[in-house]
Amino acid sequence: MIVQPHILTKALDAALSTGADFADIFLEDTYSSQLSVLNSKPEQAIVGQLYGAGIRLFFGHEIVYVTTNDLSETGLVKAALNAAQSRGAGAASKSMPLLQVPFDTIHTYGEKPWEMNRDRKFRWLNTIDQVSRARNSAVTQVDAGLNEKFQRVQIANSRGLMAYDERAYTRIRMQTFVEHNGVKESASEDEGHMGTSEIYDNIDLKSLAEQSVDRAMMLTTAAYAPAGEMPVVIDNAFGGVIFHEACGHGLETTSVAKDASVFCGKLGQKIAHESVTAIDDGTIENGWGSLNMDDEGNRTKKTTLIENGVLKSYIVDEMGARQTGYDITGSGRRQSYKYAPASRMRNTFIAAGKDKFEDMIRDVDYGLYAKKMGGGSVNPGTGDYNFQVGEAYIIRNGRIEEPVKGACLIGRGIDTLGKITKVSDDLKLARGMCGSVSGSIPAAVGQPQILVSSLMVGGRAK
Amino acid sequence: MDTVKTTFQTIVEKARHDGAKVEMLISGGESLSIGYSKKKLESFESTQSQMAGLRVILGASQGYAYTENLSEESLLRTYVEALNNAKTVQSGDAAAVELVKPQSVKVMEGLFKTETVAMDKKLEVARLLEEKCLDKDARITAVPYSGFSENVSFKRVLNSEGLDQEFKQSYYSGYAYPLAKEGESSKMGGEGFFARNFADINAEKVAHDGVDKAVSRLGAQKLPTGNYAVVISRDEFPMVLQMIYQYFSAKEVHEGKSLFQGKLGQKIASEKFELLDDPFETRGTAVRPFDDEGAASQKTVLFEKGVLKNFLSNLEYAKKMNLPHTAHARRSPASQQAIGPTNLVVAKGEQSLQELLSSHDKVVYLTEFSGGLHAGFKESTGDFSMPAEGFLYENGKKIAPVDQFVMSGNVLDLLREIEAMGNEYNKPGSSFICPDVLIKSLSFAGA
Repeated sequence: MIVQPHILTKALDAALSTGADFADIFLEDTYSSQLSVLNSKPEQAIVGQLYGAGIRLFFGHEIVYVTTNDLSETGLVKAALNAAQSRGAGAASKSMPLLQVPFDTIHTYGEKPWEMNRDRKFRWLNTIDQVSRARNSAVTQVDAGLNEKFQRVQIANSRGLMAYDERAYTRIRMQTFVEHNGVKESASEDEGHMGTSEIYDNIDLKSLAEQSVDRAMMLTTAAYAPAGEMPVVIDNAFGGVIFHEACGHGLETTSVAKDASVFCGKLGQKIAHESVTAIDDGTIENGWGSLNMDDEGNRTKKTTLIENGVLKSYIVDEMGARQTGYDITGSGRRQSYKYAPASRMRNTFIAAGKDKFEDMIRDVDYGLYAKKMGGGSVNPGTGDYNFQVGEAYIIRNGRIEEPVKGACLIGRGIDTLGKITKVSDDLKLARGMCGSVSGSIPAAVGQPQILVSSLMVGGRAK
Repeated sequence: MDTVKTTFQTIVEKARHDGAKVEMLISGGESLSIGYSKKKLESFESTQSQMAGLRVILGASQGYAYTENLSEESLLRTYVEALNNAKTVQSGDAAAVELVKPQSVKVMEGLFKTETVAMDKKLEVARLLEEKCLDKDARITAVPYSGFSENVSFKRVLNSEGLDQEFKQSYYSGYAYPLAKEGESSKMGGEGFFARNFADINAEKVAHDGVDKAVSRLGAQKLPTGNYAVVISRDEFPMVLQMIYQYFSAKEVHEGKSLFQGKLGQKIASEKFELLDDPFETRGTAVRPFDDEGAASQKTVLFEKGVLKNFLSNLEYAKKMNLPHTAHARRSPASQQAIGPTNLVVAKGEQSLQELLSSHDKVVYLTEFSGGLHAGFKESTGDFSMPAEGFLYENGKKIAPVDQFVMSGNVLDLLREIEAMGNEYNKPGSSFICPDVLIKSLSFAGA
């Protein structure tokens, strides 16, 4: 508990004093730590605290949002009154008595980040540094870091809901720089989950570091990717970023309610190849994009978005439900109290199919195997998306052949969904950070390997 | 005396006892953002923020900690955390890190205004930004992103050498990104504004320019794959500057991450490329009288006739690498010291946009990079493959809008291939001030 319920009731009443029909308060006290090793030495140690509240009022479809760092009774009531008086001129109402919503946490945490011995944390980072440098003498720099966050949130609303939750996140990342025959390259890897850091004792950091070095070395000799439209096999795990960008963002009510999505009005319609079933699941135990409750205090859910190619559900938050009439999916999320929540993805993935990866490759005469995806973006209004491929290979006569670099995939979501002709049986998830209107949040992406029958590959013209 | 200063003096005393030096960076501000959707007020956000970041120096080692709770108890705890962090890190250097000594800085007038604007007028700007898009053209089906904001921000640096500098600025900004549809084709265009005076805002024009940007690209065709001369519009050339942005940092050079390493004094770009870092240019958004460790700002020439003239430094790296101290310390209270530019100003040329577009038989006029840098640029190599859109010109005549292509190459090659600069600057609202830029040849992957 960050603030006592009787204070929150006073702040909620102040928020409702000029005609708002709903109000909620999101309180946050977050500990963050960033450690890093560079030049084989502990180079960075930063710890910090976020501490504040966001108060939100609904006047019908209108949202008023204010933030404050003053969590005293005076501070919260003043912020709530400011919010109320900035817009409203209607009759006051009272909030419902606050009742704590009890729930069993889905997630298990170990030692809190500020309790864990720091030497232990640096040992993981030193392992990455040493293994990388030992792997190949071409390694010129290793930047390894551990980011930890422990967020305590308390939410209260005028319907009488009060809830408290803790979210721990940990992520270890590495970037390896190499120089081979005068060519400089770099590659990166990461590992992490919703939870605390003791997991790294059981994760093979050595293999991860070696993969990063090997990929950077491979890139020093790889030719540039070809350009043009061709069949593309996209690998599992982070390959799911294609669905995240090409489709996921367009299903958020933030876009749908504004008629700013190509998926508006398509519920119940076939929008993808029948081999595609897609899910947005906030309930995976210790999953990167999981929650117990969302940032509006609603229990998180597992939502089937597309079933056998047919659109089944959007991704819906409180305001989205008001605007569109669809049921809330427990998807109201935000980076911190500084942002009003919006409908956002959690762990979003294409479900496993029946095809075999080997068969997909065998079916391609000439195409691209996109093994490791990089960052991407989408314009939800047009569905145009693009993303980088960190590691790719040419497929020739049904076989994976030479590596290529600098590939980029571009397309239009709804076209691509129709061209996913094969879905493998090997589903994997990976971590990402997703940026949108309510800030940058942890979101998992995932998929089995998929075959897109034709996709624009941006490489270099001959 | 203000309570923050009193608390900081207590911290300085403790630091002296611990044999440490200490610096506190406080930043924050207030902002009001208003958005309309479907001609109705949709969101009204009023936020205030403050954060203090402490940097503690023990010999050659530096530790950091930050908090949003500026009470005495919290700041003292934050100091102890920063001190512990300084004990954790190891520096390979023998020389102690210094703090900036108290110094006078340029007084910058007109950046902070206390003008009172009635709420109705602010709401009106936000409303017009959306409404004028919807009303201008029947092909505009929605305005997915639009809004107005009023901002005040401040930054203050205090240190145990007795330095105490503060800087405050205020500005208005807004944007409108309408979505246009015609048949199967849909395009989103966008325009924004940045103003120091409320009276300078012309919401209707911003909306209309945004509509023109969206509508003019409807019916775009695929661009045939090949090499083309390209004019990167003055609004999009900032993306190219963002690619090279970090290479100027002496810290990145020292860590072996910059492609400019070992190239100081060499001609590595076209003769036409001249670049200045100007912290006093008020058209730019990165204006500041002192850097993030309190050192007085100054102008720094980065490229002159294609020759790399300077790296950017802070006090620590100027000393470590024996470079001029250019006062480019950059950090937020929640991050460690880095080095970065302020406003980057590219020198203008003689030619009009039309002249640039007529300079080759075929020219791609690039008006949109569709993704961000994270979706197509690799800093460690300079290689880029950036999805883009624009117009194809033949013999100076617009042939058609083109889309779904990727412009690729290496940013160092791009700088060498610059053929001419346009004679007009982009509108204010960015820390990158640039003209249209003609590049001799780049690879385009399309149909």
